[in-house]
Amino acid sequence: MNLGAAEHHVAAGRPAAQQPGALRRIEVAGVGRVFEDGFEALASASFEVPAGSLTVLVGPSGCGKTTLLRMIGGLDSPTSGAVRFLGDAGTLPPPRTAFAFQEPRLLPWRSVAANVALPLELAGVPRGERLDRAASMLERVQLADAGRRLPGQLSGGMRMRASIARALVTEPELLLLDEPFGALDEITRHALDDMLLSLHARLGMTVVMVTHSIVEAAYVGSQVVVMAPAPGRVVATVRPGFAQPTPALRATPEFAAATAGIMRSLAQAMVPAGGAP
Amino acid sequence: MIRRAFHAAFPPVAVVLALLAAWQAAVWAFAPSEFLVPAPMAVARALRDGSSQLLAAAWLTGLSAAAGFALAAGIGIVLGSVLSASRFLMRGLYPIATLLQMVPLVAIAPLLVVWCGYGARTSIASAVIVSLFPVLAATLDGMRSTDPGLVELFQVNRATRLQRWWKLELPWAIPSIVTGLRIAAGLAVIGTIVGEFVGAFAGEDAPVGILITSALRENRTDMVFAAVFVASAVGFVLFGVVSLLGWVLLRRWHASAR
Repeated sequence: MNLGAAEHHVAAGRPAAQQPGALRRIEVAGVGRVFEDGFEALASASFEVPAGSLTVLVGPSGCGKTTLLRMIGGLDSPTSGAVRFLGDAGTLPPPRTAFAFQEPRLLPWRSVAANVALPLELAGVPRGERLDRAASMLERVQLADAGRRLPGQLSGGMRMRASIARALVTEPELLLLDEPFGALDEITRHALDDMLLSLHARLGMTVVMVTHSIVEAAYVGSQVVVMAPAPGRVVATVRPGFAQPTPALRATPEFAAATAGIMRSLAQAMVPAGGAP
Repeated sequence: MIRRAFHAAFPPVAVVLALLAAWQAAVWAFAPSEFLVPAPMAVARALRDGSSQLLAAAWLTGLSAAAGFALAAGIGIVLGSVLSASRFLMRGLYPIATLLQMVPLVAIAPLLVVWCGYGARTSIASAVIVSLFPVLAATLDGMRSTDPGLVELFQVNRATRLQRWWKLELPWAIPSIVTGLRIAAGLAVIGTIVGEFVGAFAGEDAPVGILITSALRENRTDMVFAAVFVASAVGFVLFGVVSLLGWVLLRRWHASAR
């Protein structure tokens, strides 16, 4: 456990950005959010997201993890503190960012390929090019044959993969995932976690992912930010540090130790809140 | 396929035939004057003898109704879209639109003659007035019910307001708009005939509304029934076209068309 330590945590093989203007890290500095009705969703969160890392925000409902993700993505503004994007020469404008949500949010009247191409279409990319890019992204998420089908004809896991492909089609530098696999069964979720890891290794973007699954956090996270509710806050930053997770990892003692570590941090933080109504 | 069509058509056809038989039997049994209730056979005869006149009337009324319906559909969808995009306009205009909907058409129909003169324009205006509101309300409701998650998706991808309308809100509202159009189709025919009562030319080429009033004046109740039958047929055709359009648009993705 090392709270807020600044460190580059780019796994081997990932194309680390080398240009002078490149993003090095995202700094979440004392970020708090009080809603208009006075509810304190997030007290104060501080940690760093190294560029190219897969950072997971994990915690129970009401710990402010989704609020924090939205603030990192610019969908919401902190009432205190700031989110900064830092390069070698100081603060940068927000990077190209894509979101995937807990629901696939596909347009039911559009084919899967047209759904995946939607962000490019909205940005004015010509039809031929955007369909090519959508097709190659569908291939990456193993949906190459499903492009012409409608979302209603797909399984939940396939819809979620289409949603991830849509997020990645713009080649974002920062991918924000809000409990993307939370509505899926455990086995499908494990498969999609492996898919996410291989996409991350291949494409090298920075990923911040929100989940309430400790097992998922320990498995995919190069860095895990553990959060607790009432009020929402960061209680620990853990690095499980599994370089190349494979499905067999989930059955090892090392993995059990990593999840136990996260659970311990959560349990310690939750004790005082346990007595509250 | 034929079996299924038969199964679908049999119940309504059987009920209609039974009702016609009961009607004919009642006319035979109680023998009211022809003027009060004509027998189904008499209506069938009127339909046959006046077929050329009735067909011409159906064509004229159908054209006016279709024109009025198309105008109402266009205005209703555009106005509904504008109102759904602006809270201010919606608060300001929707109550007025609702109020206008309450104005009895029959009461203002003579005014339409003053404004539009004798002829098809009055019938069309009358059709627009009655069929506009269902389209407007259905469009507005459909667009306002757009999934907020999808709206957020469009915002995250920096869609323009026009992109959001064309690629999200309009397709999202289509099931609701189709329902509004179905209601409007029947109303457009009613509106047209009310317009024809007060503002159409009599003569060789008379629309259904005029056929009804002149048949009443001649105590030809059988002809009135025949004309009403033709008017219903016109409404049914318009309704069918709208339903078919809805099915074509929705069959691939919406539960209502399966």
